[in-house]
Amino acid sequence: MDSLASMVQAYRSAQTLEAKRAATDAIIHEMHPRLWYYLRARLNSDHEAEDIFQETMVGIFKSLPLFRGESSSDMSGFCFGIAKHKLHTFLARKSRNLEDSGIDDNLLDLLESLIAVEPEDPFKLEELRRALGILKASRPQCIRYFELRFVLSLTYREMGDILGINNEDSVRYLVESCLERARKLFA
Amino acid sequence: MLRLLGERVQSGVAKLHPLSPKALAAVDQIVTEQWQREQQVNQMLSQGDPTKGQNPAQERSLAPGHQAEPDKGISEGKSSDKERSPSQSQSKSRSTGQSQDHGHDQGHDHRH
Repeated sequence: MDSLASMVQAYRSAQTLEAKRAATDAIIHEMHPRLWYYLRARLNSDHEAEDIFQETMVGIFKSLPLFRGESSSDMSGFCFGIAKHKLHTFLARKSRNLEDSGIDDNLLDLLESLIAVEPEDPFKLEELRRALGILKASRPQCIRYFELRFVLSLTYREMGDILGINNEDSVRYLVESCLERARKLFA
Repeated sequence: MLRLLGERVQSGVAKLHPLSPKALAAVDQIVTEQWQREQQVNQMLSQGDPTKGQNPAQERSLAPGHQAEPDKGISEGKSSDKERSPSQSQSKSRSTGQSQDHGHDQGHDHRH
């Protein structure tokens, strides 16, 4: 599959409207699962997540002609930046904040429902459920690290921004030690 | 296993909550309008000066000191060089910008 960076390059260099639309479609499909999950996990509502996702996509493509990043990670950060802005605007409008949305209480239920979508391989599903349970049992923050690293596919630096840790290596150490513990429990 | 779990969550989203036609239509409208504006500008520039106006959107975005419009923004890449290919790392110095709308607060859930 093409990288996000090459999709953006295709969008920028499109010589026809059809080519522009094709590149747009590719970008949307690439970012959709991660952005939707990011919003849904923080809003705890499918309906609200869908609305803010749509606002986010419109915001991304309104601003894309001005975006100067070149790497996939730049583009990913750009998209999550807009999603975060839309999310906070929405929450402010509703006089809510992220703590109110019960993210940690509902995160496991959301993850559980999403991994159970493909029940055709019960053994694998059981293993995945076990991994999720071990993450939960090891340390509470492991679920958060897992979400940021493996579901949202953020870099350690981007994770540091969210976790309030400036040093990228510190984030890497924290995450790896936490996940290593989970791996040992899983083995 | 954790990577597989993450991929499974992503595919779960794609299957349980597919892209809505409404969202796709909204984006298509934006992209079409931008394209039409670019074509109009191209046409005007080519009538005035045949040597200019090959891609006004790119010229505008690359102009020194150019500022985003109020509802628009330019993101600053926040990724790690350690996580990129060498070619991506080399491009980092050219990929910075600033956001007036959103990019500045990217990923700071716990601050709010």
